[in-house]
Amino acid sequence: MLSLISRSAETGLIIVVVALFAARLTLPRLKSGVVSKLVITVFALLFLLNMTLWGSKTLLLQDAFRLDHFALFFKGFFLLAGIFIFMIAGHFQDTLAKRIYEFYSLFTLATLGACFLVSANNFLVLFLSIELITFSLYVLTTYWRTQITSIEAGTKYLVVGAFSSAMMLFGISFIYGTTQTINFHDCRSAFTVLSAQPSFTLLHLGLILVLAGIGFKISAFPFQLWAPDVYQGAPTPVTAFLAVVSKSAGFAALMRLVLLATGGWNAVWILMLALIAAATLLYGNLGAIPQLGGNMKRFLAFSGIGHAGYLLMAMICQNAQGYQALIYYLVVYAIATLTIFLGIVLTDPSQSDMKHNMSDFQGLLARSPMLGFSFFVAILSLAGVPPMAGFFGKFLVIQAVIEKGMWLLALIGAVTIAISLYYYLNVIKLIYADQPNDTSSIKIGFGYQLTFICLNLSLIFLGVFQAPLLHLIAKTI
Amino acid sequence: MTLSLENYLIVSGMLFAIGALGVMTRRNLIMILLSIEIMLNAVNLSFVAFSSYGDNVTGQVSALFVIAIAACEVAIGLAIAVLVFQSQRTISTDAVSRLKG
Repeated sequence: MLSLISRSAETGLIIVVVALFAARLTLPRLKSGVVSKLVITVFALLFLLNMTLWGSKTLLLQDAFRLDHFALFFKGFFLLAGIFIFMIAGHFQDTLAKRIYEFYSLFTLATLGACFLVSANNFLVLFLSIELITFSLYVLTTYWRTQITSIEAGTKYLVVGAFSSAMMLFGISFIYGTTQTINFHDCRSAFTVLSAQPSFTLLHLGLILVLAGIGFKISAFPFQLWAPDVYQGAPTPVTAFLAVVSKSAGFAALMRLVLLATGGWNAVWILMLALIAAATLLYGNLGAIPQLGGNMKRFLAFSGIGHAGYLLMAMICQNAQGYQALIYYLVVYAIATLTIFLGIVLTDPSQSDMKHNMSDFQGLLARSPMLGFSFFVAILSLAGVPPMAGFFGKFLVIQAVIEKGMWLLALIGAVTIAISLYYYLNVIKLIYADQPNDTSSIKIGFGYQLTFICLNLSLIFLGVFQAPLLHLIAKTI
Repeated sequence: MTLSLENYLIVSGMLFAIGALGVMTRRNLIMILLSIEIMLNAVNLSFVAFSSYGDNVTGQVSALFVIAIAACEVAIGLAIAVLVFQSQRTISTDAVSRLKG
């Protein structure tokens, strides 16, 4: 048991946080580029260490901590995403100057929360790890404290986040009250007994409140209002973290909850969730259209809400096919989103205000072919154009929904894909056909070029050869 | 007269509703933070009530964790309120509503 704990990603991440604080005290003058490279290397090592645990399937720490393929897969995913987010943050470090250590340790803490979340095996650990992510993100969102937009984003995120976590906690207390346990496994048997009765009990109210708390994390329909403002105001690396790690952690928690704690939903629940998915799809995809010509990060927030809708569609299927589609879609969405955010920070090397208006991207292809091409691949993947991986993700989701016989939901999904094509292709037109305001070419370092090539190739590779990833995902469920 | 579990739950539900209303209607950041505290304390009350009537100590342990979480949340919230005050000379949430569209 001790060897499992010492090799788990969490132990490593805690050591990283402590080391960063120690370095803050002893080596305050270390170059920020060095810190960034060190942290990236450690994350890569932790990823490899995490993979050595592959195959273990056990419960630790008095059944509070579950180590299995699902948890290990997502921990690897978060660590890899963390590496790319540190690369995005590496471009932000001149703005940070002295406060670089705190910035990196807060990112590490948020990743730690995500890693705990996918291993959670009771409601208290679930809640505490969600709070670890959100608390770090409250501070990170407000991190650029000379900018009023950053402060505003932090304030909004704090108020909405604290409200939803209180709701979730109230729900957990009801679940605890009716089942007398907070363990997922024991709750499951209580749920199966109670869901046989048609009446609405305290347990159902509790579950609704918990789902509302997770709905806030994944920005599903009635809880999505914070997303555009926070995405726009937060420093760009933090926005990338919100869009990739925080959202996928929410979906992983949702899957864990359904697979372990509730053991399936009946028709009423499925109808409710289908309505939420449809509303999320429509809100995100229709809301993105007026953002064309506005702010790039705000636009990505709306398109991100739309993607949460597709992921929820896959969630509703409640079978292996649906979960497989969900995880595949998440991985592909993460790769494309990280490419776009890396492109966004590199387009504006001065980092003067981090506004990132759409007009800054006009004629990007002429200014930097590498950036132009990367945006092209990533946006086509998000839009779901073959042969990019995003197409196959959407195909899997719609296929899973149709095989469950939910034709209306599949139809809404197909219509919103058509809507999303309109605005994504508009962005591509902006990058390819429009005349740039500022014709100076953008220079990209060799490391970043290599990263872009890897990300682009993986998007194309996963679109053409889906089998290896799908095979891996099938093992996790 | 003995208090039943329902009595505690009704008080807890009312406290939660008061807190939720406060978060939604108040414009002062400190008041919003206090309302969130009321919501979290409503949760504590329901955890402890369930725990003592169910003869199970898990709920009380959870309440301890909730107290710690609430303290962290307020610490971060006050830090953000200080930042808002420094830049806007007020802690009204109306002062931070530039992001729109």
